[in-house]
Amino acid sequence: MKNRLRVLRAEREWSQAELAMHLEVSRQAINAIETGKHDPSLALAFRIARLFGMAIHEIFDDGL
Amino acid sequence: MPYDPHAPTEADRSRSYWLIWFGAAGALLLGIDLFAGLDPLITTLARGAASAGLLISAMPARTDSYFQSLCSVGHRWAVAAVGAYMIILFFLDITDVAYGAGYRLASGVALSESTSDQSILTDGWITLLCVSIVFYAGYAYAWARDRFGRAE
Repeated sequence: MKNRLRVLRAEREWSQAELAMHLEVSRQAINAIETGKHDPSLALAFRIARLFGMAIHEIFDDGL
Repeated sequence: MPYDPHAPTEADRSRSYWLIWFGAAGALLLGIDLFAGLDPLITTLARGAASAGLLISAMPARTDSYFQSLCSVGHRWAVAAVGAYMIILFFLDITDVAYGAGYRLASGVALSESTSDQSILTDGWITLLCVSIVFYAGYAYAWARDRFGRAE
């Protein structure tokens, strides 16, 4: 699934480890989500959306 | 969200990724030990590492969903290995049953012993070690697929 996580993280000048700390996941998980290798759970998608103050569909694009 | 001083940190969650590789190395060393006979100190440490990796994979509390998704591939491979192992035993048993039935029909006396040699297949330690190695192989496959495979 495509997403804007890398862009949003870059806008805040956060490293993957810093974003991982905010979201209570590992740096590896952030990398996997950013590169589209792993789709986050619904709970994590909500946490990401809440952190960036956006709606889930504004961050993630399922291509439909 | 209330503050939890014991909540796992990012470092705690990242640690589980490399602990799995220690487990994989331990399982491989135990496999080598079957053929080469390693030093007892090495096999003890390897047994500890292999078991730690397996236990971490089964405890989701201090890990994240990505780690669990990698482990789930290993778990699937391990379960498939158990299924394959049992079906091999099943076919060996069929051979025994067929041979025993034929023997009884021909002689009128029941065959008292198994005809197939299942000594290696029914060795508990070797079986568990093989399943462990298959789990780590599945994890390594999923990790390599994500690391070197094409992104969506």
